[in-house]
Amino acid sequence: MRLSSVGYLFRQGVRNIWHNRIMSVASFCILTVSLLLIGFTVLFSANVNMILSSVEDKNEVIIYIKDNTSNEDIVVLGDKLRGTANVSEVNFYSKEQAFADIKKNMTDAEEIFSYLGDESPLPDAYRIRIADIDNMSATLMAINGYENIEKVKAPYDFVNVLTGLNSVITIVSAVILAALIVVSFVIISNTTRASVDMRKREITIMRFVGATKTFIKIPFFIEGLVMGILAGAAAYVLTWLGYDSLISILSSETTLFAAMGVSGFIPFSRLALYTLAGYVAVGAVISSIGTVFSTRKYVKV
Amino acid sequence: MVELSHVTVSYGEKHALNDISLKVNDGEFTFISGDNGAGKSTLIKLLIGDVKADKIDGVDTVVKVNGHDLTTINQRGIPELRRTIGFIFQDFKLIDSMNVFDNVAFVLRSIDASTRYIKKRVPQVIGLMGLQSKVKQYPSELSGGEQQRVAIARALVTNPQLIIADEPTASLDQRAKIETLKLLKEINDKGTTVMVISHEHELIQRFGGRLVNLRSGVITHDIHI
Repeated sequence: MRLSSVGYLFRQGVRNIWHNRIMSVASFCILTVSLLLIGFTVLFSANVNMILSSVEDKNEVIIYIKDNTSNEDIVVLGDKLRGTANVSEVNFYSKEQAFADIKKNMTDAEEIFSYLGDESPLPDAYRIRIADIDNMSATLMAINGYENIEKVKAPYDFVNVLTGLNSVITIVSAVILAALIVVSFVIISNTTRASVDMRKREITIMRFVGATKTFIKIPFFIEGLVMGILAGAAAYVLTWLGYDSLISILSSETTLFAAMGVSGFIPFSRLALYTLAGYVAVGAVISSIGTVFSTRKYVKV
Repeated sequence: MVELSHVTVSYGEKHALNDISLKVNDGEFTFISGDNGAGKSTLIKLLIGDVKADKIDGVDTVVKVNGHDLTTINQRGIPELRRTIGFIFQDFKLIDSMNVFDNVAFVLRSIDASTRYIKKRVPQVIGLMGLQSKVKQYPSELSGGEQQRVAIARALVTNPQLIIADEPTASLDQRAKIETLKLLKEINDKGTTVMVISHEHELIQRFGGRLVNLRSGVITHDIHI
């Protein structure tokens, strides 16, 4: 095919979008919403995975010691922990140290701390590391049987919540997405049908003068492709604005997230290129496939 | 050249064409006439490869148009066949949003012709039709006769071996009817085969030539008048 024909067919495709603008806007909107849903699900999962891996890297379990436990018993507990299978590291974390650390992290709560005085209200604790995370449950079960333990706090409670939430969001998104993709195909199909009706006379002439099937169908394919790319670009801009705003709100809650072991979120700049490429590619693929199926149905050559 | 031998085309149980044989030589001018339902439209569809002749055991069916054997032609061959035929529609089928130049150029663009060729060929054909001054006008700004001349220019622009005109005078006034047929005759005089579908017997009598009459899918007359 000649280069001039490629340019001509491209202009025909863009012209279809303009002449058929109401249906085109409908296709564009539904595609953008579908892409946004895909994008935010992927970005949420990426952040969850980052948090999970950072928590796993820390791999730390805190063993709180009962109040009034004697120093000798604390040492005995420490020795027991060191002797426990699958425990790779044991560090004592005194109540005074814990109180100092919390004061350092929560600078905006000085007034509250002033009421508490200098005496730490927190318990003494051991911070231990687990060698093999897969066997963590058995290890923690053994430790729970030791004397003078108030509570065992594994960050995996939070991890489990996060993993569960991630699964739920992924499943719900997949269901909504499947529905949106079906709706997208229906709307794209109707858009193509409207374009075909609009160009019925041209298609008839093209058939009679010996235009090939491909030549007749290409403008519709381009129409879908351009629509998909535009929807991808729009979804990218919306994600950029939405994600950045969300991250700046969440990042202001540093104490809350620090307490949960979350050190931060993935900045959008790190994901920008992948997000843009992903959106444009997925948008173009969904839209083009929809258009190809519809032209097969409506354009009789 | 058009060569049909023992051609039957059926839609279900109904024979739209029933065992017809017809030969139109290169450079001939032929009128095809017949009432509604006579088989004229089916004949056109057959010639452009839109319908296929029935395969009947023991019957040696021949359908040849401009060197293409339509009994064996595949889907890819059909555009090639159609590029050898210029088609004039009854209702002109001009594109309202395109001016005269673009309406004619549209045909060449549709068959992947080069921009250079389009710029050279389209003004030539528009000139032949006497439409030089109307190049930038839109169909709504033209008279019926002028619209028909644009339609003829569009059929001619690919240098076809055969022109099929489907009731080209049906929606024209008397003067434009005569003008249109004169133009088609002139084109024929330059060597292009022309087949005109028409049931306007008065016009056919006036211009003369070969007349093939169809009735209920059968050729009832094939005469020179």
